[in-house]
Amino acid sequence: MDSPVAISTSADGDTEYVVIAGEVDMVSASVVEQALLAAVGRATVNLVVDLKSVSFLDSSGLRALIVGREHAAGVGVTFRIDSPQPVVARVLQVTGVAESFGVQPH
Amino acid sequence: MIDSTAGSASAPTELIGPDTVRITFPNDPKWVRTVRLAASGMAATGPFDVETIDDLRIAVDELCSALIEAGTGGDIRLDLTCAQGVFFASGTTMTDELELSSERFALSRQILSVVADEFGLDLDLDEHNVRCWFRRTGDAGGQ
Repeated sequence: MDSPVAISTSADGDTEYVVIAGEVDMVSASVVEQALLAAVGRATVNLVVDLKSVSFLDSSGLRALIVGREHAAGVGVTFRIDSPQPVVARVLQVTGVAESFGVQPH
Repeated sequence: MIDSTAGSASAPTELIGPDTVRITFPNDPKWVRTVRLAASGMAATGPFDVETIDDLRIAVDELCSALIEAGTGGDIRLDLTCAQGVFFASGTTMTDELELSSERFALSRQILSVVADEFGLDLDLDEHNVRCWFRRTGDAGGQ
């Protein structure tokens, strides 16, 4: 089965962008994690992960984001999540990690 | 012997009845999306608003993920009930686990503790199976 996510990357100045679309679950979390680790490797100052088009995130996907953030912190890159949909923000908030990803409470 | 690691010691099985839909699927994460869709479709027939249906999608996903992770690869049997303003899900599968450590399923437990009213992850060492269940009461339409 194809991965239920699509991932694109771009860079603008000192910021690396990762745009994820689809559902980040047990099936796709490893794909997302690999993309984030690759982006951390390219990033110099900031890494922004755009979740505007992610319609579902579970604990597997959350683990991938946490791994990405930890790797970014290890090399001095700031890691921020941008524009999560409510269902995604809910998972970030109930697990207590929203603030650490720069996601403001609704 | 039942080793209950979260929630109540035993699932409220009285919630399984004529409105219960049983889904059996292979221990493969690719089927969980289909189960999420089925659960949200069932929940849409009950007194659940959009936010609660999202919570139920999340809860069903975490339930299935825990069983896939703890299972030995055999089929997963899931009972979904949406009746009398309550959504109840209970799934089982075979396992050779001897314990379900708190740390291993910490994120799933944390999520289920918020998106469900009550949940459990139980290991039956005699029957070599693991059971995960949750219950969520509707909060729209006169509950």
